Parts: sequence; structure tokens; C-alpha cells
Amino acid sequence: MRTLKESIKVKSFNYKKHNDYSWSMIIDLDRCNGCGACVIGCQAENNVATVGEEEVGKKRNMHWLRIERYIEGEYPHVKVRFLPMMCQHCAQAPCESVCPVYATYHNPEGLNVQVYNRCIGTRFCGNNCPYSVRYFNWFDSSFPEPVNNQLNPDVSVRERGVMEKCSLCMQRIRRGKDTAKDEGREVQDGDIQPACAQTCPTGAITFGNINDHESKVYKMAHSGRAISLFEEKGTHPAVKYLKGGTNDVIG
Amino acid sequence: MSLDDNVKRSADAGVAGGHHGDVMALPEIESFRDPETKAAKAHYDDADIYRDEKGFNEHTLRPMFFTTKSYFIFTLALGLVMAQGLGFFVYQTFVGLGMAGIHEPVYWGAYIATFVFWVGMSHSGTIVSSILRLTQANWRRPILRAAEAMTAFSLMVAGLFPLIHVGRLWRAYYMVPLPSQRMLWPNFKSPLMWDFCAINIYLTGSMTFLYIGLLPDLAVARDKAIAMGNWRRHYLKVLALGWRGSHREWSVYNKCSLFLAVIILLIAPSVHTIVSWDFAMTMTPGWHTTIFGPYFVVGAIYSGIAAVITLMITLRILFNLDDVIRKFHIDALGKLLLVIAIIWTYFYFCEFITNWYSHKPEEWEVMAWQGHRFPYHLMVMLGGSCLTIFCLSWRRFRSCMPCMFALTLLVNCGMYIERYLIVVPILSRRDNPFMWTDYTPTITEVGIIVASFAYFIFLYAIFIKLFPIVTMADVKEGVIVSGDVRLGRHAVRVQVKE
Amino acid sequence: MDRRSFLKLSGVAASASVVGACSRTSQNVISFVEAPNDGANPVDGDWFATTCRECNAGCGVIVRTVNGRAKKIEGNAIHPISRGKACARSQAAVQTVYHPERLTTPMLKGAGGFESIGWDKAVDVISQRFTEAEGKLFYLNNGANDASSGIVNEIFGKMDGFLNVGNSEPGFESLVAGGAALADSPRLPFPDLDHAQFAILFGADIFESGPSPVFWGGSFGECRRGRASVRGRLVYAGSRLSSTAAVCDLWLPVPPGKLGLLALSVAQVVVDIIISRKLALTIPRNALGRWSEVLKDYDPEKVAAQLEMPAEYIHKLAIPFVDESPSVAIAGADVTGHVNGVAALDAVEFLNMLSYEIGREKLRIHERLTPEPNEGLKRRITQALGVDHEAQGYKRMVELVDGMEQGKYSMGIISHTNPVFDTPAGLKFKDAMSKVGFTVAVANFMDETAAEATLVLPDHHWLEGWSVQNPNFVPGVPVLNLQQPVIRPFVDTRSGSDIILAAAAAAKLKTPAASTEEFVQGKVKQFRAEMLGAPAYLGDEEFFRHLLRNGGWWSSEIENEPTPTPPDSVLWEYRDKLKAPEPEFDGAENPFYLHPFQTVHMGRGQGANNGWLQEAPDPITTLMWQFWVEMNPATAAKLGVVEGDMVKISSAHGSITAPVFPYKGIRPDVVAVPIGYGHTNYGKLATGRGENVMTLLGAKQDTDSGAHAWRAQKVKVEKAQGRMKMLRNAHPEGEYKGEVFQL
Repeated sequence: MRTLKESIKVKSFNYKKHNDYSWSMIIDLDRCNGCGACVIGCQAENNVATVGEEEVGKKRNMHWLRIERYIEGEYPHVKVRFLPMMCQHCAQAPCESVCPVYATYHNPEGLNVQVYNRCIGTRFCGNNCPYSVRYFNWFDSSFPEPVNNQLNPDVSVRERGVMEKCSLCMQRIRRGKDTAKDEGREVQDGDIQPACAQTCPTGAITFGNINDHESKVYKMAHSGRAISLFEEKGTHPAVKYLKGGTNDVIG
Repeated sequence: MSLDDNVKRSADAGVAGGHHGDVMALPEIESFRDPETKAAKAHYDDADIYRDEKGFNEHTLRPMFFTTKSYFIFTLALGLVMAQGLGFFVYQTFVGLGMAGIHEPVYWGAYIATFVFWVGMSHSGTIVSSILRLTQANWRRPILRAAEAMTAFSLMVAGLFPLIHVGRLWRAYYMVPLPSQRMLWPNFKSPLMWDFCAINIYLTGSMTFLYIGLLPDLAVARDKAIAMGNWRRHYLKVLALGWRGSHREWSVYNKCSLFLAVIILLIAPSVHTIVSWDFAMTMTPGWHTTIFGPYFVVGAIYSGIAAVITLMITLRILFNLDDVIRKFHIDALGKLLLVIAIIWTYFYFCEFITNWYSHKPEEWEVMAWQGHRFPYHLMVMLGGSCLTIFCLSWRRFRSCMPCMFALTLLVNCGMYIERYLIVVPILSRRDNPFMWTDYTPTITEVGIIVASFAYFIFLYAIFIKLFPIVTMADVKEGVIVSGDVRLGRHAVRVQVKE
Repeated sequence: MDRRSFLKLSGVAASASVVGACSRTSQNVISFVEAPNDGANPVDGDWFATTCRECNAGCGVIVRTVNGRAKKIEGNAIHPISRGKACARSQAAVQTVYHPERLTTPMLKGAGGFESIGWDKAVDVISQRFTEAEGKLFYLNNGANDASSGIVNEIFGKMDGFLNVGNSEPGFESLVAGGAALADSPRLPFPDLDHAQFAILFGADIFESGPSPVFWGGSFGECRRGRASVRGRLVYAGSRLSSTAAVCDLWLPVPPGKLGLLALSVAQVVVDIIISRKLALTIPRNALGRWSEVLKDYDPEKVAAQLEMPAEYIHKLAIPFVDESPSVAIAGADVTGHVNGVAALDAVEFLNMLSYEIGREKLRIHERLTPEPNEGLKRRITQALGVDHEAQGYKRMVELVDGMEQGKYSMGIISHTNPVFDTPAGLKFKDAMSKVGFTVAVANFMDETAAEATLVLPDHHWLEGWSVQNPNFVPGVPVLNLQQPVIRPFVDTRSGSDIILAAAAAAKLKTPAASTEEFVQGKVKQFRAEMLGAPAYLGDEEFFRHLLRNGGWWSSEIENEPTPTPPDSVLWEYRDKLKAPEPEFDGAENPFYLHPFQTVHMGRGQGANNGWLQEAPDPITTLMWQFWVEMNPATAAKLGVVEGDMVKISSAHGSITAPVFPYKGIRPDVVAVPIGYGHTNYGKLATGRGENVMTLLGAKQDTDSGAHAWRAQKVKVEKAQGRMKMLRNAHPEGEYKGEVFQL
């Protein structure tokens, strides 16, 4: 007989007991150099629209993955930090409970899935996301001929009025699992890479199955450097960060 | 004439809505009054028209049956304002919500602030009306209808805003629990779902309440319309449900309104609490606070009562109802407003002081930003509360119509800004400082919001022309069940228990 | 059934269902909340290996195509430069191939502007000109060592009067000259950052403007966290805190042009430590003594005032340089951008040599000293493809401009480069170009240079055409990149090199091949014998296919070979090179140093017509779609400007106005302006966006290498009329509140 505490835990964010996979992403802040390759990689993979100069001025750019830049200190002791920020795929996702139409839900593999067809655009999820990583289609995204030739057929182009966000490249996970199934095996560590992880020149982004204790992400997530953003909010993100080192090489 | 007589009369005369042509022998109020009693003078120095029922009916139904040219011009102007708002809305729906000024992460802007404002407004009527019914405050009688109508209309306006604000209006029905091929019910874990249900229940409840209250008056109006051969007789005949004013009808009517009053009184605070939960149930700093439920309810009642006063004074002037809506009523409402203003100020202070004292960075950021960016808004707000408390403490102010009119308008302006300050700055200064941003409404939002005010007034204007605006039955009942009794040198108004 | 039992039964049923509902069976039911397949039904695509040609780094990439359309570009995991990764510009190339403004037809300039002509006529016109030119022509490209340059070189290379020029990135020659300091042949320096524990970056913006941001990114990642117990530490010295500097652990704002001095000062301490600690090195001790003597003038105490930093900082750079060996020193744009660039590079390379000697077991910094078997092959490949190291850079550009002025050339071919836009005003390229009778621009888009040309040939996008490429920057192994068409040409374009071949054949010139594809195959065949590790059992055709599948050929033979000590002669010569000449500046009377810099996204301006790149926020400013000038907040306050205010920056050569972006990470006497903005004729997205900083620059050259000293410019800055809304992604207050994340 399971105790109450245990059952709550299982239901909430421990996918291990019920599923083979629990996807997780680890971002090493010590490696990130802010180059933005991941941003464009994500845009190319996920048919993220460009919104143009005017809308950018209203802060309506849609990059699912953005690199936040923070400045610390005063000249000459200035430190610039980069923080890649995308949907954190919280196990206790604040966005999921507030959606009135189940447009966002948690799948059994620990991903926070956005179903565009269900979304009616109340934008409540966006309001409840402490990371501010949900983006709204204020207008119909424009992929005029011939730009539309580039569109990735695996990912739907979103209509105006729906929310969208990082899916951890759901289509790639799907493809990875399909391939593994065809070959009659389990997904191996490194089989699946979201667009950002695949493109990151410094190797700051690692993706994998945290239920697999041999996987890179498991080891990284259990290293001393691993942190979750806004841990105090109890969202239990699947995306974790590895803290950077000390700033001062001198003194 | 004694009190006993009055009771008897009310029991067998059926008071209002009697058959056409019945002249009811109303008590001569003049005869109760001791002209030398100062207290009596202070309360009843308006002209008195309670001479005969026919005269009273004529007088109170006059706004309904008699329309001036300026009325048409006025409604036409309202129609134009509404048309521009509709234009903006249609354009926004077809082009995209980007027409509004909202952006990441200020996902809710002026639309939702206005929604909260209108829901707040709706609390005037029914709450006031049901509280006063239940507490048997005798002075309530003439204002009931106007207040209840306000509830219904402001809810109708409020209900539009979620629709205006959703991204895919054409899919908004997904929120309705319809068994369909989608095989998916709405998520009842979402506060928005609770809100959707609460608003619907409240709208249904307050419409019923309004309609039940209307019944006897509809009958009077029906009789008059039939006598006049007026076109209104067609729908009045149907809506009056064949009311004849029989004993049984009155007794059912009384039970029913009492029952509804209780129900509404339970629903109304829960509705606004649920609206507040749209905010308080999130984990957004500044929203996530336990105070929001009562704070919103009090705020709603506050703005609602202020709006009722504004409306009363407007009706009084426009339709020459000085003798029905008396200074005494405004004075009494003013006292109620004073109490609510004090409570609201207390809540406002509480919200601020806890934030200030704990100085939790992410919450304080919101407060600091409000204070820094909107000093004038804060001034209006504090003006809306401090000034109100100060002014309302004086009876002379309370019985000064222009003063009350201006003050109540100011209160509602302040309350609107307060709603804006609850929605916008908190989203502008979210947890993630990289995504901080500022928000200004666009012309689309302003146009639609202005149109919503026009729509509200328009609904009211139409209502006045279609239904009796003064609660005739209640007024007449009040006259019957009460009277002045001399106790030594003083005349005291007493009331028979209903 | 009576009423009583009915009620009983229904009561039991109700309580049973209540109890049942409390169990967790709902978990076993398929929930409709979960969308089938979570909404994703991926299709299979075809992946092709090719070479990214957005810059000259030569990253191997793989391209996913679905139904004949290119969808996604990823790094080629087996390629030694890209190592499976790709940069933003490479990723965005799928946007340029389907760009609505691509040129679709050859155009000849007539009286009323460009007129569309057919491909046949274009070939006729060019072949006629080939005959008339009789070898008096030039070929100008972006410094790419590829099939196109190889073909032109093989047709015209032997003729008198032919000149091939590579308009490569500024500072290229200085880097080559510096790299040659310790070696016997020209090449780019290649410090082994991967294995370093401590690195000093002398103005090296390796992630923005280095020879390969992708390769350097990988190296940085390895250096930082590639090893289990070691965290690589980096220090950046330079006048602006670039995005490269941002990842370093320390930033030292050194005055412009003084980086050589800093390097020598560090070297002085390092040599002192080596001597005082009696470290066992293979360097002759008398050489050390000689160096120590020469370096005496660069004692930290003496130069600290010039470097505007406390002397102890220099000690604290030098001590870990020895203690945390292996360590490397990397020089970049802030070194090569000044007239004393080569001298400073020599100092930096000197540090590298010391470092290698200290940590020789662990580092392969000086692969350049390896007498490796492939060295000859590398050079021969480079020469076979035309634009070799000598043919590239600003010095050659000056030669070309002089020649054009003197009327030496009756014809010119300009391929995929935009010198009218990206060369400094002082060079006056546009005027010189107008003196050439007939110029052919091979391009994908109309740009400033194509607009000046007589004939514009729309080329295949690099995803559509054949080529072979030898990267300028090779990480220790010879590389021959192959570029193959991964998609059919999307619009009616022809390969520029095919047209040249056809025209040359029509002009009865000797052509190396009938088509580019054949040329590429020929080259593979030519070098096959020398390609180590190439499977011998394959026929030529199969071998070519085999290489195409890999994306090219590279050797992996010499990875871990130990590096021998430099020859004594090299070491002895070094004492003469240890000097730090004073920098000179154009417009020295002006108060501010101009710091033009490359951004991650714009390149030298090629990225400006790409919506994705324009909308991608700049790493440092987070600005999108916008041009800006960075200055220290103190400077801005002195000028009386705030963010978004326009300022006018002027030099003797021109002036630009730009909105101010106050940034704490820049010296107060420096104003930094990104390059690549201010196009005048480069499509809807690029044209008129900002101004071109190149119009401010004079023609100052490095005293040794002749490279363009693009940061040796001083300017006046004054407040101008107007304001601009800054389209920034970071909130101006929020960007200082990063502590909320407790990183």
C-alpha cells in the first residue's frame, strides 16, 4: 500500500515508475557563449515566424528559444551572462492547470505539450508562466511564396490567435522513438537531439532520458552544478541548468 | 388612520398592478406629517405625489411611454459610438489580436481590466437590492429596478470582453461543455472555467431576479399600454404572464423574490471572488495573494454603489423623478457608500502594507513600478478613497445632488484605474526581469472599451423605454406598510413587518 | 420490486460507484486529453552532406531535404571543422535559397539600366570579352579557395596581366604573417584551445569574426567543461566586452593598439618565472637569457600606466599562464586591426611558444611546426584552387585598385563578394571599378557591387551547385571540402563557374573541364593518391561518391603526434621580433577611437537581407532589425545623450548617424559600431537599415603585412537630431536584475 505522500509524488512529477522515458534537457551555462545558433536552429526546425521590425518593437518576437543577457557590475568590472531560455517543461506546470480547454497538457514522458488545434487564445497560460516562454500569434504568421518552401513538414504552422512554445522538438523525439521501434530497441542516449542541442557549437545543450541512469543528462542533473530556474516556485522543470564557474580568475 | 388600517389595506387591496381603472384610496401622507417636526421635514421635504395610484402610475410610467426627440438623438449618438467599437472589434477579429497593445508577457491588458470593472459594476444592483430586501430597509424601494437592471446590463457588457479578448473567437465554444466529436470536456481545473460558469450563473440569476421583480409593474404597464393601444402591449402581454394581482400571486411573488434575494446574495460575492481567482490562483507575484477575493468583492460593491448613485441622480434629473427618488435615498446610499469606501481603503492599505513590509523583491518591483510610473493614477485612486471618505462624512454633501454625482463618477474612475493597475503593472514586471516591458492600450482597445460604455448606456436607454424603471409595486407597498407615528413631540416612521 | 428494496439497491449502487471512483483506475484509461502522437507525425527526409559557404570557414554540413526542398541545415558530425555543429548564419541559409529577391536572370547594363538577357547571350557576351581581354582581367572573390577560383585560375592563371584577389576578412594577412612567425609557410595561427586550461584572448572575438566561429565554439566548450575535473579559464583583453569576452572569466579593458605591449609584458613575467624557477625546457637557456634582456623594457611596473591597469594584474595573468599549463594565447581583430598588428601577433605567438614549451606534453598548439606529411598536400591544394594566402587580403586589394585606376584591366569577374560595400572609404573601390570597361558580377542577390557591374550573373545558391573548397583555416589536418547540389536549382540560375567555362570554351581558351562537376571530380582524382586513409579498392567514380557522402576528405592521421621543438634558428630570430611599436591612428586629433566590429549574424553584411538573422537578437545588445553605436554610459552622459538618441560620428572620410546604445562593457574613449549595416542596394530588408561604418574608415595599413588597420581610426562624436526607439529584447532595467535566477 502506497502512502499518501508517495502517491502524490508519483502522480506529480516522477514519471519513472510509469514510463521508460522522461525527457530532460541540461544547459551548461559555463559553455554557452550566446552566439544564437540555437535560436536560428529552432526557428528553422519549428517554423517559427519572423514578425518584422514593427512587431519586434512591440516585443512580439516569437523565438521559442531566446538567449537572455544580463549585465552585472560597473565598468571596468563588468560581467555579461547569457541564459538560454525556453519552455522549461515543468513537471508541475503552472500553464497546464489554468488552460480552460486542455490546449496544454503533460504527456507521460514529462513533456509539456501544446496542442494548437485546441487553443482558443485566452493567454492565461502565458500569464501564469514565470519564465515568460510562451508566445502568442498576434497575427497570421506570414510565410509568403517562396519562403514557404522551407517550412518543415513535421511541424504545423500556427494560426493567428494560438499560443505556441518550445516543444523540445516533439517531432524529433517521435522520429527517434519510431526509428528505435522499427529497429526493435530502446532509444539510446544521444539518438534524439532537439534542433538547439544539435546545433549548439559549444555543446552547451544536452538532451536525453533522465530515467536512464547511464545517460549524460542523468549524470549532469546529479552533478553539483545542476540548478533549476525559480526552484522556489516548485515547478520542477525538466530543463535544468549547470551553474557557471566563478567570475574571478584574478584575486 | 392607524397602523392597523394600513396593514389591513395592504392585505386586501393588493396594492399595485390592480386592474386598470381601479382607484386605490391611498393614505393621505400629508395627514401623518406633523409640519412642525424638524426631523420629518428633513426627510420629506420633497413634493409628494402619492395622492392616488393612477396619478402615481401615470407619473412613473411617463418615461416609458413618452419619448422626446433628444432621446433619439442621444441613442443615435450611442449607436455611432457602438458602431465604431464594433468596427474595431470586427477588424481585430479578422486581422488578429495584434491590433491591441498587448504583447508578451502582458497578455492581459485593458480588455481584462474593463471586464473586471464591468463585473464589479454588476455587483451594485443585485447585491444592493437583495441586501436591502433582506434587511427590509424601507428606503430601498424606488431604486431596486434601476440597480437590478444595472447588474444585468453590466454583466452583459462584461461577458463580451472575454470574447473580445480571446485569440480565436470562432473556437471560443470549446469552453462550453458540449458533448461533441472532439471528445474533450473543458478543463474544470482552470479558474477561467470557474469564471465562465460563475458569470453565466450570475447572469441567469440576476436576469431572473430582475424579471420577477418586474412582474407586477409589467402588469401595470400592460394595462396602460392596452388602454392606450400602444405597440408595447404585444410583448407586455406576454411578459406579464397574465398577472392579475391575486392573493396567491402576491404570496408566491413575495416568497420567490425573497428566495432569489438569498440566492443572489450568495452568488454575487462568489462571482467576484472567482473573478479575482483568475488572478489570485496564478503564481504571478502581485496576483497570488489571499486578499484578492474579499478585496475584489468590496471593490465591486464600492464601484457598484457609486454607479447606482450616479444612475439614480441621472434618472432623477432626466425623467423628473424627484418625488420618487428623493434626497433621502441618495443620503442613505451615501452612507452605505461611506462604509464600503472605508472597508475598501482598508483592503487597499493591507495589500500595499504587506508588500511594502515584506519587500519581497519580485512583488515590490510591481508596487514600485506602479508608484513610479503612475503617480497620477495613484492620486486618482487615493482621491477615490480618501476624498470619498472625507466628503461622505458630511450629510450636507450627501444630500447635494451635483456633489454626489461628481464624487461617484470620480469613485468609478478611480476604481477603473485600480483594475487597470491590478492587471497591467503586475504583468509588466513579471518574475523574469529580461521580459519586463511596458504597455499602452492602442486605439483599437480604447475604441472597443468606449463602445462598451456606450453599449451599457444604450441598453439602459432601451430598457427605460420598454419597461417601467421605477419599482412601482415596491414603492406603493412601502407607502402602505409604513407610516409616521407620533411619539410625544416627534414623528417617527415605522414599518409593519413584511 | 417494492419501493423499499429499490431504494436500498440504488443506495448500494451509489455508494459502490463513489468508492469505485476513488480508486485510480482512471490512469489506465486512454485519456482524450493526450493528443495522438502528441500532434507530431514526422516524415522522413533525405540528408545530403555538403559544405557551408556562408563564410570561408568551410564547415561541413548536412542538409535535410523533403520533396526536393531544403529544410534544415545541421553540422556534419564527422567533419573536423564543424564537428557536427552549425552557426546561426549557416542555419539561416535555407532562408536565402528561398528568398523572394533572388536574381533569376542574367542582366546586362544598357543605357536605361539593367536589361534581362538570356543565358545564351550572356555566354556570348562574356566569351567575346574574354577574347578581347587577352588575359588582362581580374578575378575577385571573398577569399574562397574553391572550384570557381580554381577554374578561373586554370584558364587565365598563366596569362600576363591576370590577377586573382580574395577580398577576405580584415586582418587576414596579419594573422597569416603572425602565423608564419614560427613556421616556414603562410598559414593562420592555430592555438589548441581544446586542450588548454588557461587562455588569454588578445582582442580575439573568436565567436563573431574568427576564421570559424563554429570550430572555436567547440574548442571553447571543450576547454571550459570538456574535462571532468578541469574548468578552463579564459581572460579577454581588448577595448570592448564582446560576446566572446562575455564568456571569459575576466575582461581587461586595454587601450586600443596596446595589446602587443600587454602580451610582451606578460611574456616578460613568464620568461622571468621560467628562469627563476629553473623549469626544465628544451629551449636553450642562453636564448631565454637573451629574451629576458630584450623584454626588460616591458616590465609590468613600467608599462602598467600605458596599459591603464595595475601592474599586479599582469603578474596575475602570467602566473596562471605558467602554473595552469597548458595555456594558450589567441590574437584577434583587436590586434590585427591596428597598424602594429603583426608585431603584436608576434608577441602573442611568442607567448604560445613559451606555453608549448612549458606544457609540451599536453598541447598541440604548434602543429604548424610539424613537418607533417600532409603539409605539402595542403599547400598544393590551396595553390590548385587559385586564391591562396598570398592572393588574399587588403594588400592585394590595394594592388587591384591601383591596377584598375591605371586601366590595367579591361575586364573583371567579381564573385560572391561585395567590395563596394565592405571595403573602407579610403580604398575608393567604387571609383576604381567604374574605370574597368566590363565587369561581371556573379551573385545570388542584387547588391552594391552587382549594381555597379556591367553584367550580373545569377549564380546557384551553394545548396544548388557543385564546388570543391579548401578552407583557409584548417585545424591541423588537410581538408578538401566537397559541395554538391542538395536540391535542384529553385530559380533559373546557372553555376557561375559553368558559365565561365562555357564562355572560355567559346572563346577558344583552354579549359580545365567541361563543367564544374567534372572539375570537382578532376580535383578529387588529382589528389586521391595523396589522400591518406582513402579506400584503395574503390574506383574513381565510387571514390567520388564515397567522398560526397562524407562531405569531403580530411585526414585524421596527425591528431596526437607530439610536436618537436622549434628549430634553434627560429628561436634565436625571435629576439628581434619582440617589440611593441606605438599604434598610429587616422584622424589622431579626434577624441574617440572607432571600434568597428563584426556581429554574429550580419557577417560583413551578407546576412543583412535575411529575415531570420535580422530578427535574431544581437548577443550583447539584444537589438533586432536595428543599427546602433555602443558607448560607455559615462561617455553618453558626457555627450548628453541617452539610449536611442542619435549621434553623428564623423571622420575625414565621411560621417554616419546612429542611435546610441549605452553599454557598460566598453572603454569610455571608444565608440563601437557594428559592420554589415547600411546597405544601399541589397533588397527590401537590408536597404536603408542603419549606415555603413566602412564609410568612416581611412586606408591605414599594417606596417608589416599591409593588412587594413580597420580599427586605427579616430572619430568625432556629437549629438545629432532625433531619437529612435531601440528594438531591444532585454528590458533596459531588467537586464541588470539577473540575480533573480541565482545563477
